Amino acid sequence: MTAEPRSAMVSLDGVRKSFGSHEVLKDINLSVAPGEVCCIIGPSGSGKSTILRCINRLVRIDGGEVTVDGLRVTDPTVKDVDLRRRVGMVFQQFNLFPHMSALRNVTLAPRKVLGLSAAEAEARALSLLGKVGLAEKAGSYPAQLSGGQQQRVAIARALALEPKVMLFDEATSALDPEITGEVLAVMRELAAEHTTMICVTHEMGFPREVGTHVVFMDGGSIVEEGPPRSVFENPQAERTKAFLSKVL
Amino acid sequence: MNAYLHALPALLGRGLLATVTISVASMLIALVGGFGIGLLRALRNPLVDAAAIAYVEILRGIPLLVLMFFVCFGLPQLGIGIDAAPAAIVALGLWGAANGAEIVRGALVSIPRGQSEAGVALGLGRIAVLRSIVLPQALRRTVAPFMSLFTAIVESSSLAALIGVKEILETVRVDIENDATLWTPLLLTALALYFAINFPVSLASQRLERKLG
Repeated sequence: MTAEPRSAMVSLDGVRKSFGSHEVLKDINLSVAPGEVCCIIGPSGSGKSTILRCINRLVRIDGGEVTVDGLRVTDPTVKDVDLRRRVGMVFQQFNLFPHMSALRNVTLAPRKVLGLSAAEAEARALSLLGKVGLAEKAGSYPAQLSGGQQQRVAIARALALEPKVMLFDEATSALDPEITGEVLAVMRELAAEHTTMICVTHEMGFPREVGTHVVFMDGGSIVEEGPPRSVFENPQAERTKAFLSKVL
Repeated sequence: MNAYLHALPALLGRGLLATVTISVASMLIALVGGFGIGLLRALRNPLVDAAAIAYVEILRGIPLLVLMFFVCFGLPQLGIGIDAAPAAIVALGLWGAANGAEIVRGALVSIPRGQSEAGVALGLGRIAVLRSIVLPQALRRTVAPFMSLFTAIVESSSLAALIGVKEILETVRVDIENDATLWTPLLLTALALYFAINFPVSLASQRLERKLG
């Protein structure tokens, strides 16, 4: 399913980004419709993570335009906070705040950004921790949690602002293989609820089973994209074929 | 023995008091100044940064004793009159603040970038990220180096003897000049006094670190 640009939740048009003399993104065009699960695959250093970081302004783009729920990231009148409360982000290294309990990790943004009362924020956080299966760990600190549990708390934290789109930056790459499943299960559940998701992943099972759209990147460009079935089973570009033959 | 006992009251009284006063006042300046400058640098304003870097590098690049001489004897010639004890506090405090600023800056940059990035991605502003996420984690990492700085300040307060402040060392020196047999007992007493000031600082550091951990 290809979305019309007008109805896109996230769209990138001609996005360019360089770090120094290194061109990380070369004319990226991508459109993600509401409810879509867009999975970006490709070798390390191909610019996958940078795409995500351009969407919530963690990285400023050099050219082109990114639009999130109608907000243009290059528009200086669009405030960071308005953009970021629409975009939840989950990191490879979890990045939980180690000096806060799981509950406080999740309540921080609702309190500081949305101005919720302590009671409101806690109610929301507890329900989100319940959703990721960790209600009983609300009082635990990150150091007391396994990697999989930490990442599930991080997902709950990102959901706490009720974002319109969730970005997953290699959410399972730092986890032992046997516990990636519990994180993927949460991501599957979000997909089943029609959460708009953009996932950079080294995991090929998830895009195959859950993805609605797969993007293969190499060298800062989108080489090939389409429904998972066509990209995985009938890749057209030689580079896609070569990459898939190595990872599948 | 009699001469030693005769010398003790001045040492334990005025001398100890002067050392403690100079040390504690300098520690406070180092603490407040260090956090002030260190946090200003976290704002990443180029002008503020340049001023802070210049201050830190100059103060750390000159001998403390020379700085003390300058404050005590140089400033009065420039029309800024200052007594010896306050001059010692100013010099030690300025020197301590420069070292304290580096401690705070080092602790702030030691917090992984992913931490502030996660805060920013959650919509928090720069100040909120600093206050809620980075500073609480950095604070604990400042405790041990600040306690080292504090003990260095206590030890360096003895330099004030050279500008005539009647602190522990200067009190001892005057008594020794009158009676050379007092060298060993008085200097041992002075060493014990410095240790008696510094040891609790060390203990407090360990307790504070545990508390913040």
